[in-house]
Amino acid sequence: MRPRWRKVIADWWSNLSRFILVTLSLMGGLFSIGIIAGGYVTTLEDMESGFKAISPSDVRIRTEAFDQSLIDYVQSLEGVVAAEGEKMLFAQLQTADGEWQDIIIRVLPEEEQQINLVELLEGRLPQEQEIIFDIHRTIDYGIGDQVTIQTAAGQKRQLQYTGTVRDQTIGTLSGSYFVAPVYGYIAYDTLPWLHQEKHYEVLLVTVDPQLSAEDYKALKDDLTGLVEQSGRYVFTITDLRNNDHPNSGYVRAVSNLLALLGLLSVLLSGFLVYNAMAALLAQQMQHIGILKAIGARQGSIIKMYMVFIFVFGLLALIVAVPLSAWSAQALGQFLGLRLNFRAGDLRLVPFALVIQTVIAIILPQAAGIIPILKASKVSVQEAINSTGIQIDEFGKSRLDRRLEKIKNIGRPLLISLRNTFRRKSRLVLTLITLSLAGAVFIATFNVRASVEKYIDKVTAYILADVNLDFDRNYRINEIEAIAKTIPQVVLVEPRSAATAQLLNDQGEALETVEIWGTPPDSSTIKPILLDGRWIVAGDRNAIVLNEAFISNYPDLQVGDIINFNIKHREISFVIVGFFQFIGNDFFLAYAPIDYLNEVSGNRHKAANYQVVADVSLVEQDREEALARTLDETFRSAGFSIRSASTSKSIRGNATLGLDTMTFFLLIMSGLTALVGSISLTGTMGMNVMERTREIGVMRAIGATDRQVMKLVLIEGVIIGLISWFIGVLLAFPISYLMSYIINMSIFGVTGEFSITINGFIIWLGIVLVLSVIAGLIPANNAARLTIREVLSYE
Amino acid sequence: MTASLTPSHGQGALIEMNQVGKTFYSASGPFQALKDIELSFYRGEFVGVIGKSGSGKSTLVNMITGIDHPTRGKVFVDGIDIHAMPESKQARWRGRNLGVVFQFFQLLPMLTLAENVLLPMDFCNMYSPAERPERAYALLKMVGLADLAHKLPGSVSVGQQQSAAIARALANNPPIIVADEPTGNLDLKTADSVYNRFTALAAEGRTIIMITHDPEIAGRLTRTVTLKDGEIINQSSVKTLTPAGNTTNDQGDVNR
Repeated sequence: MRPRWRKVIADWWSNLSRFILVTLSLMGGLFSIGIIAGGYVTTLEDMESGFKAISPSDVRIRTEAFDQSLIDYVQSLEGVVAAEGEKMLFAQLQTADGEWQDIIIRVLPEEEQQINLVELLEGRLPQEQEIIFDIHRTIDYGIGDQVTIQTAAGQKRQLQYTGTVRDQTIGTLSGSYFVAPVYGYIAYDTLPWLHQEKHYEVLLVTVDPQLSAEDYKALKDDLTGLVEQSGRYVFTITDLRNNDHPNSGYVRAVSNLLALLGLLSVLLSGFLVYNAMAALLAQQMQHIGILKAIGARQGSIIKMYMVFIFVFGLLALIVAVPLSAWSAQALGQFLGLRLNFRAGDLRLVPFALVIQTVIAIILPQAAGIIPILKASKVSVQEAINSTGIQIDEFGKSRLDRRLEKIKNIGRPLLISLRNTFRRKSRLVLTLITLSLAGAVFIATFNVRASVEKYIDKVTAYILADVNLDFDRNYRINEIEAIAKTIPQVVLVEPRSAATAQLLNDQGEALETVEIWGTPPDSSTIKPILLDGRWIVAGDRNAIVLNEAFISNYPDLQVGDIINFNIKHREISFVIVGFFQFIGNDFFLAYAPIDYLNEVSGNRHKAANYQVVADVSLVEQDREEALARTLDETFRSAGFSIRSASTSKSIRGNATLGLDTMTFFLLIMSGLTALVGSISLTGTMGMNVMERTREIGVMRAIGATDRQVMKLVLIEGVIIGLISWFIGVLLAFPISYLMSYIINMSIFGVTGEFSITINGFIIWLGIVLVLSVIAGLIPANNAARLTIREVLSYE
Repeated sequence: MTASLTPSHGQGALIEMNQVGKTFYSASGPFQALKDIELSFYRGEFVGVIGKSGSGKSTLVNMITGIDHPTRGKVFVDGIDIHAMPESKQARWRGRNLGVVFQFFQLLPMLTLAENVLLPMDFCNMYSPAERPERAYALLKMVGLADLAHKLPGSVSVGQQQSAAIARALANNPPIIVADEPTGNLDLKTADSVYNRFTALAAEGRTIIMITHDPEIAGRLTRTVTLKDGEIINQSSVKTLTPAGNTTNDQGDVNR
């Protein structure tokens, strides 16, 4: 080996701890980029491919009872790939302690399942009098146990639990995956055992993916016509073609943030590497002088150090690639479990690998080239006389002079304070890294608070204190009378629902719209009005539309007439206002309940009731007890009730999704914090190394190990505190940006912006701990230096 | 408050080195830097430790300051076995009893001259916090730097820096001053004033141990200890110090 390369290796070896630090810094950056890029790709890929693999239905037609013959007929239509029947039962599952919890039972088709496949994870598919459960909710039982089901009509039946599955369609239709109750699956032949008729109520169809939009629309019309011709009424037709996984909104939100964090990581790694390179090259100055004195040309010196730097990148890459791939997969597994998709196996993502390689190779070279060029141009004389440390002249800047004026604190603290500002460019880079990490961390809490606030506002449309859901429409005055026999019930407000088709001027159906009927001036709805007003007393065919109408039909104005097809009748409404709900994908409208019931043929009836409880009860958090009383009262009176749940529990479930996202974001900001603390450790390490001589002097004049350690630790804490302060300032715009991205991705609206103190306080605690940890190794090294070493360092 | 050892012209040895040996181990094998040194220093002495580069001068002085540990033998300062002390206690002891002056002054660049002088008092908790600044100014005044007390080391001359370093060495009023080639980086005139300062300090009863290359200085010292290859090859006569810095011969040279 040529001596110059021996020197490169010897340099590595003799400065091992510093090189490990630099390599670790780079590795930290590459790791987070790898996990972000890898996680981004695998999560999106897995969710998309996993969802395709279950053959999700393209069209879903809810109609009156039908059997296999209709399915066979539909199957024969051109363009139809598969057709299948489905039935859903709303029932209750007895918990181990004898309580009842809501369950939706999906009846698997008689023939082999072809659409909306459930993926068997454990055990086996159910046969007669057997049941399997989806994994998204934990239940009190294990495979092999007998479970008790109570139907809406009140009959209790035992079924054997034979397996668990993953059903990726949960959350497709209404509400969110996170508010979904327990899902159970039974065989078609189990229906009579549960006192249910053997028939289907929902027709699922998958179509040829090659079909053009027009052909697809024609096929949809054919399907509707066919069902109607068979003498059945079509309640709803839901177009699910091109629909993604129901939780893809969350993944999109997370992915968008990932991209942002990825960019941040690249930036931070760049700073780290530059920081390290500049210090390293300064240390090598004398060697450069010697090399030049014995005839090395500038080009050879540049080449030597470029190779030297290349080794950092290569080493960091070799470790970071598998580590980040593994972590990305672990992250995928976690998200898969929480967001209901099947995470793929461990794999190298080419995209992530390319980014990591490019960064590992180019970034250190780019960061090193300036100091290398500078060093290689230095004269032999200058280089040989170099002290081996970067120029450090305290006292020149205005800031230094201000610091000089601070006198009324102890000398040791003064040293820490002034030391902090001695290497200003290094300090700035460290502060950028740590402050950004802090800002993202703090923002995570604010984003959560913002989304929670929005969820609260939105659920205020739908929910009072207790939500009563019946299996069918019941007379409003009958329900009210029974509910009011319970003393804690203050108000019972009916909600009726109708599915309608929005019609254009030619009478053609455009969109499926959910219209909710509500009493005028409802005291339980607090709308976020975008334009116009809410429904008031005296309104008849008034309607308030959500923001989906504004985005998709911008010409619509307050005062316009709008036509819907409700139960084969063309009904006109007058638009009185627009309100904000959860985005542009979902068409929702509110109308006076009496009018809506009149046009949908359900006069004086409703299936959903909002119950307002006595204030004292709510204050004591005892709505749960009221919900149970209501459930028992109606059930014993012979009503078919699906569920009686408190709005708090529904809201609580909705925030479960947020928990996943918050956790995920915390992991990400934790990674950024990791890079930040590596950067701080690096900075402190380099500071200590440069001040070896001073530390020795301090020990020579009486400083004890503890005093030396304290000096270094306090310096770290000062840096941590400054970064916290800057992080706090940065947290505001970053929180706003992140809240915007998340709200847009999940709800399609800008949503709310909220600030919570939690993030600020927690980050303060973390940054202090990180600062102390980052300072510990350098402080310990500083304390261990003997004065002899110090003098020989000169 | 005074230092724990009181400077005086007492007759007993202040520093005793008993059979002190130091071996360094390196890739090329063991290297004996000091070979069974038997040496004493007395109160009020101004001793020069002389020798060529690699002779063991710095190692010898490092044994006295506790900066380095002997491989064999013991070092007693005022009857205390300094190497038996734990590291931290030793640092505090050193700060209170030894003033160290370095060749490159080693003032902390981010502290003013006054703050540099205050630092040993802070570290060793000597004098009351109210007394400390007063003492620092008095010491700086003594070395002629009263007007520059609030300057950073980088903005004063090297001679002034060394004067400040001497003031710092005196901060805790130590009975022993150890100086490692304190004039190595100074011009003749400044070096001369440094020697005068040391002579005056020795006259006060302090023991000054100074590593030097300068043969000219020999006349100002009470004793010289010459080292070669880790052994004392010559000890000059003990002289009595006069306030002017001149010495008179009391005993003949002791040779080994």
